[in-house]
Amino acid sequence: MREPAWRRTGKAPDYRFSLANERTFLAWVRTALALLAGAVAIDQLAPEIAPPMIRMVLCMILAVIGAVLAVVSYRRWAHQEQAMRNDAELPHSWLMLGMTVIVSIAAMVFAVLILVRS
Amino acid sequence: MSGARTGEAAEVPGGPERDPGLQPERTALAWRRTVISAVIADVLIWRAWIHALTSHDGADHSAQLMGLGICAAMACLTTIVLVICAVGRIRALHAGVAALDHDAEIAPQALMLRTASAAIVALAVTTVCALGLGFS
Repeated sequence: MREPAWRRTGKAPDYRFSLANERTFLAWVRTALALLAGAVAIDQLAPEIAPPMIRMVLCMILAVIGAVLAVVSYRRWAHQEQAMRNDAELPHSWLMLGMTVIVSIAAMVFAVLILVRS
Repeated sequence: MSGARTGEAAEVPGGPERDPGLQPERTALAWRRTVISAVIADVLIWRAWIHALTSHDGADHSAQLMGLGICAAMACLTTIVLVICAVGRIRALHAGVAALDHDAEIAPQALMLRTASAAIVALAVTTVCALGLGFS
């Protein structure tokens, strides 16, 4: 169980900040899981939403975003902890803007598909 | 929350209104929610397999059935990994409440979060495979 080298730099942050950072990580992981569940759910429960090929491609895009989000959430947790250990400013992240844009686009695409199909 | 504030909080003595067990409890609950989310994603992949098993249209689907069965097993495995992380973490959080004010041993291990992250990536790969198999 070897810890990464940055875990020995600086000083350990207050436990409340450590745990808050961990909960943020878990919240992003749940977002990733929701994307995965959404991808399979659309494929399974709404087969009429789009022609099969388009439906599969859209669902796969959602699943791939879920995979990327799982990796990004770990990296974000590590960067936040490094900043807290070194008393530095928390790093800026495009993750929130990125996910806002992705979720909006997904919502609009599926709204259009539902409108077109009905 | 700015980085500059992280240093001062350790010295603050626990006031009468502060419950040191609250933060670990919230974190333990967050792990439980995460496991429940993973199980939901799991069940949907299992449903794809069972759906393929029970549909009889005369054609030979044995390769697809085998593939979806492997996907279901993989989904189960990733969830078991996540559950092991969550159980270990929840146990450490509950055990660490007493030590909260003098050390930071309660912080998660990087390896554990990395394992949890990797399990989700594996579940995503399984999802993509299941989607592809369901299409064929």
